[in-house]
Parts: sequence; structure tokens; C-alpha cells
Amino acid sequence: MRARVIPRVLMIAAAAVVLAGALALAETVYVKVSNARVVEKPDPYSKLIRRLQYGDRLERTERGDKWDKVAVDGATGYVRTEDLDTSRPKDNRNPAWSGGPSSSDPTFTAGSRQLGPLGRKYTAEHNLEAGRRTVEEVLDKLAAEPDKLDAFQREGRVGAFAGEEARK
Amino acid sequence: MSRPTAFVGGALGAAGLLAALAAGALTSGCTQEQITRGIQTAGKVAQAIKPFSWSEEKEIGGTIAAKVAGSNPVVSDRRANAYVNLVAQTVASRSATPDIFPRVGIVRDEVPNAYACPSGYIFVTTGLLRTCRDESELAGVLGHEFVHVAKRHTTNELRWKRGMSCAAEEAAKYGPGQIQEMYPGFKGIVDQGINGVVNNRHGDKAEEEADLLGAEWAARAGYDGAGLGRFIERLPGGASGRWKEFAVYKDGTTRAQRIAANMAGLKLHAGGAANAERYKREVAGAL
Repeated sequence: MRARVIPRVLMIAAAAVVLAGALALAETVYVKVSNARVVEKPDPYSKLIRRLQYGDRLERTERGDKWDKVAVDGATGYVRTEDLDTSRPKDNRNPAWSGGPSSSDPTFTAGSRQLGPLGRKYTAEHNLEAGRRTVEEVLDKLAAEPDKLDAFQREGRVGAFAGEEARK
Repeated sequence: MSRPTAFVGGALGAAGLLAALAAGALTSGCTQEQITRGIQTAGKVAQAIKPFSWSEEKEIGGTIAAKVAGSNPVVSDRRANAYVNLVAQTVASRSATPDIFPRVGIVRDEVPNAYACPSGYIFVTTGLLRTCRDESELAGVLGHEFVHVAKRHTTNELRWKRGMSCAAEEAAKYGPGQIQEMYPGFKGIVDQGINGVVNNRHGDKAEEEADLLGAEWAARAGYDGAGLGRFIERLPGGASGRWKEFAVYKDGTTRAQRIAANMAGLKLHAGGAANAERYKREVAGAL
């Protein structure tokens, strides 16, 4: 009985050491590009686990030349090394505020913005209603469609697929 | 379109204005009341040249975009529109400001040109699409325009204009003698503003920044970084002044050579994707 318990204790202790080591190696990193992809293997064509946005925070558990192993919301995967940074990125949209990116305003990224009262008054007075409608109904509706962007970048070997060999 | 002096920034500009006004007041023997008024004026001008908030940028950018879209026929071809936007999103995603989302429209105009409005609106002409030969050239152009957005070249210029207008309003409240006393300190700031906004009207420093960073961001997104240089070299004589004016720098180097030297310094060598076939296929509907 005692002989069985000791190996178990040793195994648990060893597992704890390994886990502690892994946690000690982990460092907090931030995404410095938009639409960063977390993939299953260090290969852009491998299964997509999730997408990350500029400023997202995650844990890096292993560093590589081209791909870093990361843990994010209970999942593990790989992100291109060049997409990550140890410094928290600044909010480029508001130079007066350096609190980091915020997703509270959905119009930061895509979707309809709609001009406010000042812009509406200006366009009404300057006979630019058609132009305003074009901006609001055409340009502002160019929503970011990540799947379409992936397919575009994959076909052209740019963005997340830059420098990769073409594969079907 | 952009003004190098605008990069001085609101804080430096405000500090400079306060210092200049104080120095002017002290050296010209102003009364306490005049000095107080001068400082109040400086405070108002400093407020006026403060960077715009994101809400203001969106309002200004959207209104300017409405002006561009309202003054030119906008091409409605969905495929070409989607394509130019995907190229722009790809370049922007690897830029220094990936949180600013570009929105690109195509306007029917056979003169090769592009416009960048604050907060991310960009327009390219059909003439520009006809001049580009592949996707890397378009990516370079969109990178160049996106630098104007990211570096706030237009809104920085507007900030200075707003500051100058505010200063003029304040100055008008004083009598001729008092204006004379405040003038030396104020003049330095006005000179800077005029040099940036009026005399240097084509903003060659800012255009150079847009060239170098635009090509760099396109290359970082995987495109051939020489694309922008090739496009500029091919521009016809009748192209818009903003694109053609600075074809050659004072030292004799061309814009394309300056871009190539910068890329070499960054160890970003040519040879990325050009995607000529895809380019021709996707923009055909707009031409």
C-alpha cells in the first residue's frame, strides 16, 4: 500500500514542478496588429482557434523565432511572433488618452458611423447630402469580414500569410 | 496636404506660445494687466490647438469625405470596392495604428490621385487604379494615404488654423498699442504656423514621411516594398501636383530612391507579393 502511495506523491510533485515552471515562463504580451490569428500549430494554414484584436492581452508560454506559443482564455495555440509585444499598445485614435485600446466604441473598427449634428448641418448647407449618403451608406458599411480578409490574404500571401508558400 | 510644423504638437506649441508671450511682455515693459491678458490669450490659443478627440476626428473626417464623395462620381462596382478595401485593411493591420479602420472609396476621375480624410476615409481615383500595375503598387499608395490618416497630417494642420483664428479673435479685442506690445512674442508662433500651413503648402516633409512609412507598412504586410516607388516613377506629367511635385528632392534623389534607401536601412528588401494578375482581375469592373 505504502509502496503505491509514494510514486503517486512523487508524480503529483513532479507535475506541480512542471506546471510551476510553465507558469514561471509565461509572460503577459499584447497584440500589436489587428486580426491576429491563434492557430493550432505553428503554421498559418493550420486550424484557426480564435482571432485577436489590437491591444488584446494574453500569456506567452513559449518563445520561438517565428511563432510563439500562447494561452488565451483557457485555450493554447500559436501566434506569429511579430504580432506580439510585451508593452501595452497605446490608443492611436485618441492622442489625448493613453489608457490603451478600448472596444467600447464599435465605430472604432467598422460599421456605420453616421455624421453628428455638426457634420449634418455642414452637408445640408453645402448641398452635400448625396456625398453624406454615399459615405454613410457605402463606405461606412464596409464591415470588416474576417473570413473574407483571411481568404484574401491567403490567396495573395500577404498579411497573416505573408512570406508563406502557396497551399490549397 | 500635411504640414511638418504641425508635428510640434499641442503641448509644445502651447508652451512655446506662453514662453514667447511672457518674453515679449517682459522685454517690452508691459503692465500687470497686459501680462494677465496675454497669459489668458495664450491659454485660449493653447486650448484651440489641443489635439482633436476621436469624436471630433470622425466628425471632421466624415464631413470632408462627404465633400469628396459629393463632388465626384463614386464608382459603385462592389467587387472593385471590396478589393481596394481588403488591400487597405491588410496594410493598416500591420501599421503602427492597426486600431484605425480604413474605409476606401473609388471616385471616377482619370487624373491619378488619392485623398486621405481624417479618421480613415481614403479615396482613390480610377486614373490611379489605371496607373497602378499590380497590388503592391496599390498597397504602397494606400499605405502612403494611411500615413496621412495615422499621423493626423490634416487635423494637425486644422488645429493650427483653429489656433491662429482664435489668436486673431483675441487680438482684435485689444487696442492698437496693446497689440503692438504683444506682437513680438506672438509673431514667432504665427510665423511657424504660416510657414507650415501656407508657405510650405505641399508639405514635402510630411509627404516624405508618408512615402517612407507607407512603403514600410506595405512591406510589413507582405507586399513588395518597391511598389510605391514604381508607381511614383510611372506617374504622368499631368498627375496631381501633390503626387508629382516632389518627384526629386533638393539633393537630386528621387522619391523612389529615397524609399529604396529607407527600406534597405530597415532590412526590408523588395520581393514581397505583387499579385499583378489578381489586381487586374479585381479592379477591372471599376475602369
